[in-house]
Amino acid sequence: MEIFTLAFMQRAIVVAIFISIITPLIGNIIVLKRLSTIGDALSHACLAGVAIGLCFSLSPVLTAIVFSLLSAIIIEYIRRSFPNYSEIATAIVLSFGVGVAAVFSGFVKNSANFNSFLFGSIVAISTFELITVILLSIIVIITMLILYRELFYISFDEEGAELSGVKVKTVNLIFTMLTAIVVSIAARTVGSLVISSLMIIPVACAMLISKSYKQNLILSVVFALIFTTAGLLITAFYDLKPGGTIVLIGIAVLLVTATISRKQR
Amino acid sequence: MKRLLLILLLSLVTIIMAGCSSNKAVSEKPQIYTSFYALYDFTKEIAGNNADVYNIVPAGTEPHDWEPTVQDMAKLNDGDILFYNGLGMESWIDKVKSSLEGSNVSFVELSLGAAVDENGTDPHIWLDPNNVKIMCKTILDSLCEIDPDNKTVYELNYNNYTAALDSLDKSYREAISALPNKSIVVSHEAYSYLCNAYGLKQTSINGISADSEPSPDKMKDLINFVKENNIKYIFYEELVTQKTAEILSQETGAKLLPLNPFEGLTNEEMEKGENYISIMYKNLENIKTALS
Repeated sequence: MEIFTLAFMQRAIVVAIFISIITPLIGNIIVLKRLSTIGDALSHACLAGVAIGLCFSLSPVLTAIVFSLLSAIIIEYIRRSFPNYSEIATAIVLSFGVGVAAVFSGFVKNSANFNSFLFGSIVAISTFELITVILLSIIVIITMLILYRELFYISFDEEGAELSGVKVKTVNLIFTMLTAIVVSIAARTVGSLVISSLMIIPVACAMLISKSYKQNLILSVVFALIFTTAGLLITAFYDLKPGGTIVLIGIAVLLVTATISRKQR
Repeated sequence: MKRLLLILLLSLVTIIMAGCSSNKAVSEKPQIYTSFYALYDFTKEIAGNNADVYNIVPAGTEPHDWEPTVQDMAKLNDGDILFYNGLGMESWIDKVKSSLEGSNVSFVELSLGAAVDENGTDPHIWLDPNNVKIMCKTILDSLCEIDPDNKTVYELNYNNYTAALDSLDKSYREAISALPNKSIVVSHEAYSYLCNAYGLKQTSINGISADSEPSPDKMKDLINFVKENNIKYIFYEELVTQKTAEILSQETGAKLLPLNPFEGLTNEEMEKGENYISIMYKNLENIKTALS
């Protein structure tokens, strides 16, 4: 048990808790908007951002965030052109990100450098990153509370929301930018695999058993907390990769939940 | 709902209880970690049996991309030294370093002090045996500092190893100066230190990154280059995909030969007890075959 006295492990647990609260909160709305793969799309946009940053000797961390924001706005724009096929938007932006990264990485002299800007692992978190994640979490939680009603309405019925006076465009823009910032910062901190799966898997688990929107929000956070803490606990005693383990626990829980909830119906 | 959470909780507790029983043996010797196999090899030569040396990136993995496990981090936290190459070889080093702030482990960058090409982008500095000597001197100094009791043993090992490195250097110098051709075609641009040391010239298929694809235009240039310079062999790396090297070989009729940048080893090579010196002699044999 002495492993929990180590500073890196304590930071990992704190970050895991915060990430487990904010990503499913965002994920709930993402799923309802039919944009489940936005996490993957935006983390590939970060890849493109890093490539461009290194090419023009700008700060790769900054260009990654900017490119991710830009891509999120593009997703929002394309989504409106195809109201019934939202998933087209994420697929297009994902390809765009990979394409830009592939072309621009050809001009980057030191490819080893490239990786270091994308490297993220939940067990390697600095004090600075810890503070960033906590601040980011506070911003996300406050925004989600303020926009709770608006987001709830928009997720289920965008047109209805617009007709009843909700500023749909503004709210969507704020939410999209929030998503982009969370993905780009969290991907570099805990890895893009963890972030894009925590947006969706806990939400899917919650959807199988919850009876209301609010219950779904709360349950998805509970599920995410179970996945990340269980993942960290297990990898503390078995020599497994933390990121992959967290995702696999999530998938296993999803399967068990699906089987049990089907039996009870 | 409640039953589900109970099942989850119970299975979690069982898994963790099972894990708790595994205890690690505590050793009195200095605990030394290295970031990839080449550095492990050098450190082992100098430390001998007086320190416990561990390689944290498994032998068959590309050291550029690797993710630490909780156990890796915990071990590093309790370790004395981590030797790493630097120059972008370990993309994870900064994050691991900053997340282990406050622990006793000291991070020693071995490329500091070595003859590093100023605006160089190639991290493979150990392919010049003279750089290995400088890296080993840094390793020696660090070991003597934390374990002064064994200073004489470390110094003896260091002197023996540098003698072996000197004769390796001599063999390379003599063999390559006698070769009629100096131009080698390699799969990725990892050999600038080897080339600069012995007057070879490398042309690479993939550039500095081991896993990018060449453009059709680049492929055309390479095919012409191989034909015009009458190149008979193309070098590939065992740990990286050989696809483009194979295509180039098919197009030009040049044969394929391995050239090992000694980032890691395959399990087979490990079992045979291969090390830096033996791999470098093999590389020399292949260079001789290709250029004579």
